[in-house]
Amino acid sequence: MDTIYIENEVLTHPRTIAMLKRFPNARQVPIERYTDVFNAPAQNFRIQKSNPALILANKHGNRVLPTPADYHIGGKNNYYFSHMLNCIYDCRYCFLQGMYRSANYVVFVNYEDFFHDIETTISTHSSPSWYFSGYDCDSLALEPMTHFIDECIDAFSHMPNGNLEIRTKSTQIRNLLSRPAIDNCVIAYSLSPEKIATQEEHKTPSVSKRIEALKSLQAHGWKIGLRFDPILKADNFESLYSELFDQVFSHLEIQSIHSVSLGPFRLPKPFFKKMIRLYPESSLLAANMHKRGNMLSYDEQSEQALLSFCETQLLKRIKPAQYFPCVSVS
Amino acid sequence: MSVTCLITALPSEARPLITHFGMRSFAHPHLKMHASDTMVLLQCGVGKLNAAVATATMLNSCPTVSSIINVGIAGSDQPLGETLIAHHVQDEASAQQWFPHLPSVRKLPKLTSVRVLSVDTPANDYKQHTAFDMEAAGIFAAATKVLDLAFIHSLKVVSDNKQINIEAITAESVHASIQCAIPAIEQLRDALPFDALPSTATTDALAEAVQARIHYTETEKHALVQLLNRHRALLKTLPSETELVQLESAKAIRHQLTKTIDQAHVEY
Repeated sequence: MDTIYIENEVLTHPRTIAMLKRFPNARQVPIERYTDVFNAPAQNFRIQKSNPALILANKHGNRVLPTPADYHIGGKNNYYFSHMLNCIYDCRYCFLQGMYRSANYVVFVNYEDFFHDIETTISTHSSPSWYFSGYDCDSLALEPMTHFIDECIDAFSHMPNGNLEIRTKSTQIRNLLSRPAIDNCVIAYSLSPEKIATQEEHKTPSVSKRIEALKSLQAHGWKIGLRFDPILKADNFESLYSELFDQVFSHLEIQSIHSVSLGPFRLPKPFFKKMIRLYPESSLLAANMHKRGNMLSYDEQSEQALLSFCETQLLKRIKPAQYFPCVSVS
Repeated sequence: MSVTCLITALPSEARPLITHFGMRSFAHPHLKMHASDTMVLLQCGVGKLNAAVATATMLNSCPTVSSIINVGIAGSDQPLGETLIAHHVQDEASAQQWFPHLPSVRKLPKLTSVRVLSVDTPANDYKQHTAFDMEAAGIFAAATKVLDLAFIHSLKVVSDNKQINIEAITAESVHASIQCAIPAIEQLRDALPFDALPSTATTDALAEAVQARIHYTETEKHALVQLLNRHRALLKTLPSETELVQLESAKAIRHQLTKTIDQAHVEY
């Protein structure tokens, strides 16, 4: 990290001080609000991705938000929260490229406020509710620096009516393996066929390493989830996804997998337009897309073919109770 | 070709740069400019209004300029003669601010970064980690309409501080100060992240060649570039100019490219 912007409000926060110690040679730039840097015009996501700065900030309000309608794993009340904005990985299909002007990483250091808001939200429901981490970032990728997930699990261990999903592609699981698993937490890995991951999921751990991490977590007693989202179109998609499912399910104890979800490639139209400007050479983004409402996705026939093939393959291996498609599959 | 524009306020700031980079006077009806093959120099005059107007006019006249480095003297709490780079540029009067996206520390060793505060009249209350100038905010206000913050920077050489006051500045001392900044200018120019930008030169050249021979509306021009980019992304090649031009109309070219793209195979 070469440049670290620090909100004046968190200059003396213990987590700020601890994180700054990790980067003694970084330029430190005091700022008033993180949005002054993060939302400024005339920024280029692609350029910043090659040398992102870190922004340490305080999150004021809107810390716990309802998820989109299809974003759930069986729960009725679903929320997401983001202690961080942006991701150290560089997946070509990721909506963050289209959503944010900046590729700099924002880390909110007021973790306790997130936990307080989650606790308050839990108390508004009579039945258990779900809280998803890893919507605007990868939950674990910067864990050695932030320790957020470690503290988050501590908090959820005292909130049995709240269920936590930690979504990630990272293999930074040392802390998770050094503590007992808790019952109301699912560690969910995003998985794509190895050949797609190599080409489209830049800087991520290989799929085989992710599966190794899942295996270790499962052996340690953590509930695990598999997220096949987005499913990408290719002429050879059947062989790609069959191989992936064989690879994944041959290494894991299938009965104890908490949940498996499946999602099509879809993006809001303005995000997609921005992404093709950033990456005109991307074959993934050059594919034919069709507008449905405000979203762009593959044509309906192709999408159904992809999802229905994957669904059939998955249901040969898992029970329907473990399966949660992000859209209806006909 | 990527051209870097150096912007200075004063003739004494411009002269050492013109000499070092081998620039020649460049005839412009309204601006004082010099140029070499890969650089231009704009002498914008004193103050942020002059800086903004001159920068905007220069960018309009020189569309090949893809980066700007503002070079000048500044008052600061830092040692005299030290070259500083702005990590934050702020207009004191309006509080408008910019945060240039700086190259890595490794690429700019020994270059201290500070806030550059653009003031309307010379100032001497030397605040910590701050340099005073009178142009940077004007340059950033105009340049960010066209360029990305990774390609607009401000380098300042400390000309006055608590020990040596502003009255001691002479044309000779300015000349000497700017000469000290030349290695930093060269390092910064080499560190600009042009390699992170997509390479669209071949697509753009083909689109221009086709548009030179077939009538295109502005909308059609945009669509052609998009289709050529998609063609190149999916098929890893571009059609030849002859192949496209013989289709004789923008509409026929669009149909042909769309058909080819629709039939493209994607395998991983």
